[in-house]
Amino acid sequence: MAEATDTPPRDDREALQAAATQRLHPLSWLFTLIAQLRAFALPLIVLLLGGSRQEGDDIGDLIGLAAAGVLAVVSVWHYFTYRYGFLDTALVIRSGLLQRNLRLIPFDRVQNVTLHQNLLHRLVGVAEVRLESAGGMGKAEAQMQVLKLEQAHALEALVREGAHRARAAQAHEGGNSSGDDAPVLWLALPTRELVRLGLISNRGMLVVAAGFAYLTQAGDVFTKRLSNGIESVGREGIAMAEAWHLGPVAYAGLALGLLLAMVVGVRLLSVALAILQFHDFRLHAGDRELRVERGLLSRVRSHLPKRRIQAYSLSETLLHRWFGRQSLRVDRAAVEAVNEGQSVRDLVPLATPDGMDGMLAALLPPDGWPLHAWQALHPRAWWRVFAPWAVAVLAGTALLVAFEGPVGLWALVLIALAYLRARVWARYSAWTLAGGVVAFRHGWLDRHWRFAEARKLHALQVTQSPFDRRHGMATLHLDTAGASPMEPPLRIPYLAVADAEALAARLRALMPRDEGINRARTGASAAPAA
Amino acid sequence: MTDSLMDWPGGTPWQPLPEAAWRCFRLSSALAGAVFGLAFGTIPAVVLAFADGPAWWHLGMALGVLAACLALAHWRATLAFRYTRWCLDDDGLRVRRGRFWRSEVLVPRARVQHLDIERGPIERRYGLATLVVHTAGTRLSAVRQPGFDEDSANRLRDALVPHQREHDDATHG
Repeated sequence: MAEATDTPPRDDREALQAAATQRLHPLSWLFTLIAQLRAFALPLIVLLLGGSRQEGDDIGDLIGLAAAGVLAVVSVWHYFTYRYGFLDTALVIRSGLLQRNLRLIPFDRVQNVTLHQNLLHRLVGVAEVRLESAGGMGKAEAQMQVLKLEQAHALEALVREGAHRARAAQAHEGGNSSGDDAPVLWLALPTRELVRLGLISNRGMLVVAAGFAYLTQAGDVFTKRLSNGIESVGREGIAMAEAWHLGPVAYAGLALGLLLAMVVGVRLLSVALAILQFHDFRLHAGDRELRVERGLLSRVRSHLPKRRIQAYSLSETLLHRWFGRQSLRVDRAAVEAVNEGQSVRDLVPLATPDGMDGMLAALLPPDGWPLHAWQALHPRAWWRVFAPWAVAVLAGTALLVAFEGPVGLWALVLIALAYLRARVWARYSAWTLAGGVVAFRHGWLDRHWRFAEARKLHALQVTQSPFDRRHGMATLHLDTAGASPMEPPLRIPYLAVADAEALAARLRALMPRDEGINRARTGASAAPAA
Repeated sequence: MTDSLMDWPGGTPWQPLPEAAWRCFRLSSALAGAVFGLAFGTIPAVVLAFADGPAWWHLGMALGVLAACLALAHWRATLAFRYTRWCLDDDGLRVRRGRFWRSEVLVPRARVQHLDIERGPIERRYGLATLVVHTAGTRLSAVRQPGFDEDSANRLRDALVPHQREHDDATHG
């Protein structure tokens, strides 16, 4: 962010301030206020529900009211002090209540323009605009809350056009600055597909897990009520079951039915979430940019320059295969906040393998897709996966036998499982570097491909454990920008040493050199001719 | 790599750390070892001595654990010094580390975002510096290597971030 806020000289500063002429939407203070209140919403609700109200709470009410009043004043003030405007190559934003802040955002540094509309925004006909640049750790470079929809679209267009122009000015050849490109619709997901997506992805499970996590945090009041409720329902259920004189088979059937109902319930929740999140999903592709629109209640529209894609992960689980679908996620350079995320990360939530092939072929360099020239890992890679498990199982068995007697020997069955798993894993794992794309795939029932263009790599690391050295193996770690901590890292494990060395050498040759790349000139764009 | 992983840690062009780094590693490692030794040996021994009345084995425990920790620290420092090599070539900076668990990192010159030279009190005493190379990557976003003498640290900095160099877009190319 420091790059975007280089302090210009004094004269320029006034020119810049003069350039910032436009204001936010007149109702923007309302949305700022709501956003601020929302930050306090959860503690407030907990207080209202959980806290027992007593005499003398009037003071508390008064304080709350005063705080709300202050927030409202701050919101209005924010509206009056916030202005933005345009220069040739940059966006200027003036803001700040007491401490005045002048921010300059060069267009070519903008990673992503996102238009966010929740239900209220849509009722009023406004949108929140977020500009993101690289490495912001999830914090937007600029967050404009809120603009009239036409204004937001105009800003979006200007920023993107400005970015194109800035890039065209840099490119000395200048041949490919063909102006605007008519975006092509790559993918639209009708509700039918979203149902499939929900069934496959099982997002509901995440919500259930989050719910449990919340309940454990929520304190006694909630948990006590909840556990009382569950207990009474359980007691009634048992009483009913006793009245029916059920046998053990019936009990088992009931339990199974209950389990089934839970599974179905979670899947239904997943479907609902998928629809909520991806309703009317559209992926448009221009020459340089991808545009994603989605959402049932909150509409999100975001842009992703193709060259900003850092790495891909393609997955095809067993369920995916039953439905004949695949999913693609991408890493981009700007790190997203976890809850804001997924705006572009789920670039292709669901598509047929053929459709996916087409899209990936267009995104990757020519000859990069389909991935080909797969090569196997070290012949004893399975042994590397198996050995730690074998040791763990043996140790566990020894403990069991020591405490429980010879019955503990049954634990050895796990060794067979670990062996099978290791063999299958090694058999279905492979790597390739062809057409400038480096990839690793693994998995038998659930298959995953993780790949990136070699020129997008930022660092290489080769590691060897003592075990690896004895067997002549090495693991290659490839570091890319913006890799999500939730995704598995891009690495090619347990290669034969000679392969690892050769691959590292080839990757080194493909990684950018100082003189070879077309650099963005911030020096020029940070102090534009105003 | 131009040179095999079999030849570890490698001769020329791989450069070792200066002799002073060994002393520096030993001192900082010994401090850490002493802290561990006190925490897991001496303090429990003192507590036990107060609880059950002093006995000879309390003294043995206090000194034994401390000595073991210091010995481990010395061994670790020696290994860290002996098995660290670095090399700067056309591609960028490479650093090799580790005796048992080995790792070799390559940061291409074009990928260096910025670079820190840190000097702690112990390092200052020996005229050494820690070089931290930052990239826009994720897991290897900061490659950190202590024990450079200040001259090579400065030379490395100048070599990796030339004055004329324009800013790179974090995500370019």
